[in-house]
Amino acid sequence: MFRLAVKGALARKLRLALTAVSIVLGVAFVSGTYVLTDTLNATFNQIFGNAEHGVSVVVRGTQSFGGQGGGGSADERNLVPDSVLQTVRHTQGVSSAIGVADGYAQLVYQGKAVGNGSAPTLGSAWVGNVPANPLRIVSGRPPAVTGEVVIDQHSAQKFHIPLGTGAEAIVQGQSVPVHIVGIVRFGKDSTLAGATLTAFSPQQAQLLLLGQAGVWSTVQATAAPGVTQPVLAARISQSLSSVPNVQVMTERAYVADQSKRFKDQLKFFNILLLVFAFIAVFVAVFIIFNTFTVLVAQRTRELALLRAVGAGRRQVMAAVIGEAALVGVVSGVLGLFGGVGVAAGLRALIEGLSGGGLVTVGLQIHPRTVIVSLVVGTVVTIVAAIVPAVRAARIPPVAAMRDDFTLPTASLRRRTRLGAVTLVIGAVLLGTGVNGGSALQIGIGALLMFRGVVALSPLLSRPIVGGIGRILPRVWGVSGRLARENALRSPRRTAATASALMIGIALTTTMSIMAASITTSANAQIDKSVGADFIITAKNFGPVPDPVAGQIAKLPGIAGVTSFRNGDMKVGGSREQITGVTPDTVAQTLRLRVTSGSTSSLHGPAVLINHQTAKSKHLKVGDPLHVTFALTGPKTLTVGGVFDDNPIAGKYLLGMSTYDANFRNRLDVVIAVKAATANALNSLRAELAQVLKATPTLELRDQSEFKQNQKRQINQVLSFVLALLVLSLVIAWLGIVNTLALSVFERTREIGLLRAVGMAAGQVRRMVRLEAVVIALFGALLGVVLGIGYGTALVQALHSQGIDTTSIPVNQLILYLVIGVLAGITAAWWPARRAGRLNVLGAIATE
Amino acid sequence: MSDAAVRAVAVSKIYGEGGTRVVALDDVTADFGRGAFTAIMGPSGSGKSTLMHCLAGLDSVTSGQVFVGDTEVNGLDDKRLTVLRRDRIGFVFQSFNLVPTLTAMENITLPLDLAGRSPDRAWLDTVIDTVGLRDRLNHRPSELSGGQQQRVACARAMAGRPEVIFADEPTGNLDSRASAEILGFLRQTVDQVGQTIIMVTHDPVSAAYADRALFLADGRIVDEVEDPNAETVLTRMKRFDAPADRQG
Repeated sequence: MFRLAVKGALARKLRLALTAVSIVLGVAFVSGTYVLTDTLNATFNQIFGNAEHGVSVVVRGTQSFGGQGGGGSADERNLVPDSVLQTVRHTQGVSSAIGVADGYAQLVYQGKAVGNGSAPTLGSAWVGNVPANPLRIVSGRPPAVTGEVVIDQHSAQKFHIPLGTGAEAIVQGQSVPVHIVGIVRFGKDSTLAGATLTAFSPQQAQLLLLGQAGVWSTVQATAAPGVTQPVLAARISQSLSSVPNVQVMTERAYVADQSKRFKDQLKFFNILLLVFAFIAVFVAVFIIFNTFTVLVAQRTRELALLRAVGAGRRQVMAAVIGEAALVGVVSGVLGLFGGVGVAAGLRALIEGLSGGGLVTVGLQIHPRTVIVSLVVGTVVTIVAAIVPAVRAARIPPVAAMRDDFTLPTASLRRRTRLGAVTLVIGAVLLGTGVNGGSALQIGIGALLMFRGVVALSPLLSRPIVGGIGRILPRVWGVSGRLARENALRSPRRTAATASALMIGIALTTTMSIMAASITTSANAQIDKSVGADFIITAKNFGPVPDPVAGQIAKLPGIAGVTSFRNGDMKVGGSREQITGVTPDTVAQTLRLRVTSGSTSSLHGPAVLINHQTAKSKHLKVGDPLHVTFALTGPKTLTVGGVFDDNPIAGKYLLGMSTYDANFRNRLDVVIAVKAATANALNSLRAELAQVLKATPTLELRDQSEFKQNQKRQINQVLSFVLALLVLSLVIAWLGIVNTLALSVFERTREIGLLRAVGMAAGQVRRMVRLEAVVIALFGALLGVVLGIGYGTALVQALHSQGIDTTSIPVNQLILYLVIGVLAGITAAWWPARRAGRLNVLGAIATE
Repeated sequence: MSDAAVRAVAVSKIYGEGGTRVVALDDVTADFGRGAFTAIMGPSGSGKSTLMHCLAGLDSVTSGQVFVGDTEVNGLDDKRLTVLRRDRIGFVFQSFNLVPTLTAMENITLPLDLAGRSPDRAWLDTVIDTVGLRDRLNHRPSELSGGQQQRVACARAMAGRPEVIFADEPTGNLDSRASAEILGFLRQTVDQVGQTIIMVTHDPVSAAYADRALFLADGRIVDEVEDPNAETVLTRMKRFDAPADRQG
């Protein structure tokens, strides 16, 4: 049977080719994802490993609760006093030790912000040529006095910054002039994963980056030869046993902890890509299924002959499955290589966009990637071919003698009943799930609905395809009439082809509805809760330095300026986001409706809470609220006021003085500006722009621009997701090509007859094209309808997150239907050409 | 205008080259009279189907000329050949004669619909009544018997009043009763409206319905019989004892 399977596959290679391509694409997505994320992961490992090169033990400050990806202030820790460095230096087994002072520093050279897209801009201290210092000076000299800095080689080259020139450095709280005296590398790399670095003298770094003298972010020790990390860590712990608020870790533990956030993000990215890869593979399943069903039907007589000459049912089944396995293995291997190729391309792209030096390791092809790719390719193909194989095994030997034998098919009635039940259960689960149910319930509901629609699609094809097809005879005469009938002819085939397209279109529709609803809701919220005339943010979600707000407040024609700073605190064990604000102006810039208490309470150790929090925690003005800050530990705040729910203000507002007392961060995320009068906005804008000129990372927007920007960001996410769905759509498109090609092949004699009685080649081509359009439109229609269901349900589920307006982007949905039509027309191009070129005599003379 | 509906002048058809060269038609010249029912007979491999394909513009000739009416068929491009077949020729094949997705009525009017012509109602009624399908018009081919399907095919061939109907073993898949019916219709059409019919068959009984029988062997016309009956044809056929199956 194996030989039979191989020969069978070879004999039908043209018909199997498109199926194989669809599997190859799906598998390539899977393997490409693994290779790419493994490569990025290895890059991170190397970066973190490099950065801590030569370090054996790290001493860092404690925090009350751990940061986990919030960034900035969420990760604030106590600082380590300089005395710890001295103690560590004198601990036995330490060969050398350094203090590290790091923080935010943005270099500005000739009015341009030096940076690499959204990569961080770091400041640090130059601590001399010791093993623990990863920096190596490649030209110039180390910073000796206040005002002298060294910068990374990558930035110096990219921005053409020569040695000995002056620049500005924006740090927390101020902007300082600097003199560039040296260029450094990280070990052998010119950049640390694209981050820009400005290293000051230790004293200046402490003052500028940490805000006080005599402290370090961490102290890092290098072990003497022969002393292991754990041994040294134990000794240092011993000698620091009386020092409060510090913790001692081995370098290995420290690196793992530091890289955890990046790895978690990478893991999320990996899963996200894999989800879309498996959607693509899932689409391919429909195509494999269709192909093998058609192939088995076309080979009925051949398989019956096998049975007649003595092959058992199992052997017939094995022949079909074997053929599928062969296609699966070959496609799996090709897909694996394809994925590696794609990953290599993306790596080159990242390198090209970033100017090089970002991905410092080669492509990582792990055994897991190879195994998963081959298994996915093979198993998916075999599973999709099982039903056709079982049907092949049911062919009775007598079919070999009969001309008109057709395979019996399971009744559509049972499938329909099952589909309807599945659809209803899914809809109920989804419907109840979105009103407070779990994400799992929503997911299962959506999946069941999908299964239900797929099961029902052959039944639905009659009214819908028939309905769409009704106009065809009117416009295109017999070609149209035949196209409609052909599309209706094999409801299962039409349905499976359409279902493949439905998946992609349904998800596309869902995402578009989500994006439109989020945009609409966000706009409504901005209208409702932003009173500011201008909003200042930094590019790439970067920070706004503290002094900017103060400079703006001095401008004439300003009614109020509010700074916003983010942070976390723990309330009753749960981690809550808080916003630090300028007390006097927040009511204006945020349109805050304070129902009890007042914003002026925020000058003291008070907290303003929103209505919902007040209700759920039974709090009123004057009540104490026990909270914990990461840096300063447990504190008691007084409820100074309650405000109507305001999505931008969130749940908790602190006054800036309370914020500053409990967070080291002095960087704003947003500055909101309210003009004194509405009629001088243009001149005010010019003045604001003048102030912001000194900090090129900042962006100034009025309310409508702010909305536009929000929309743009949402659409960027949408575009990214849609890009991930493109492959599924391409595979579905291949499925249409495949179905048409198989149908044209199957109907060779019929087309010959049509040609003989006078159908022109053009009319034949049109017939095939119209059939494709009808099938594609059917799939797109199912997809859009299902997507509208999913989209509105998900928006409903997000009501509590402030997404309270369901917006259906009708134009986009129409566009998707048009795309469906275009997919049909283009998919039919090649099969239609083949059909039109059929040799009339050859077609009818086939006996 | 000549009296012939279809003419073949020195037609040769050669397949392949060198060692695989097969002469299917060898310098065939024949006139097919207007309003006549001609049977082309011959053993399998004699070239009778090839001759019909060449006459009907389904296949090209290697040399010689074919005329349908005054139109020279060879040299027409695909488009003109299609129009020729659609508007001036009717076909009845041995099997797979109908489009399975269309009803009987739609099959009958298919060539007219393809041309965008509206059918002559009165004529269509006559044709339908002749073949006796009035109560079966909305059925699909799969719901019709083999004989009924072939009657639909005959009706389709007649519906457009073509200059000539080509029938390729039209009764090859039918039992004797259905065969008699079909041949009866064809004869009737010739007698009543002067339809020209050229039929390829190897069955002497079928040939007996024709006005004239041409005998082909090895790609040449070897004989012709006027007003054939089953016996004369059978007698003639028996003389082809030399096996001539070079061609399937």
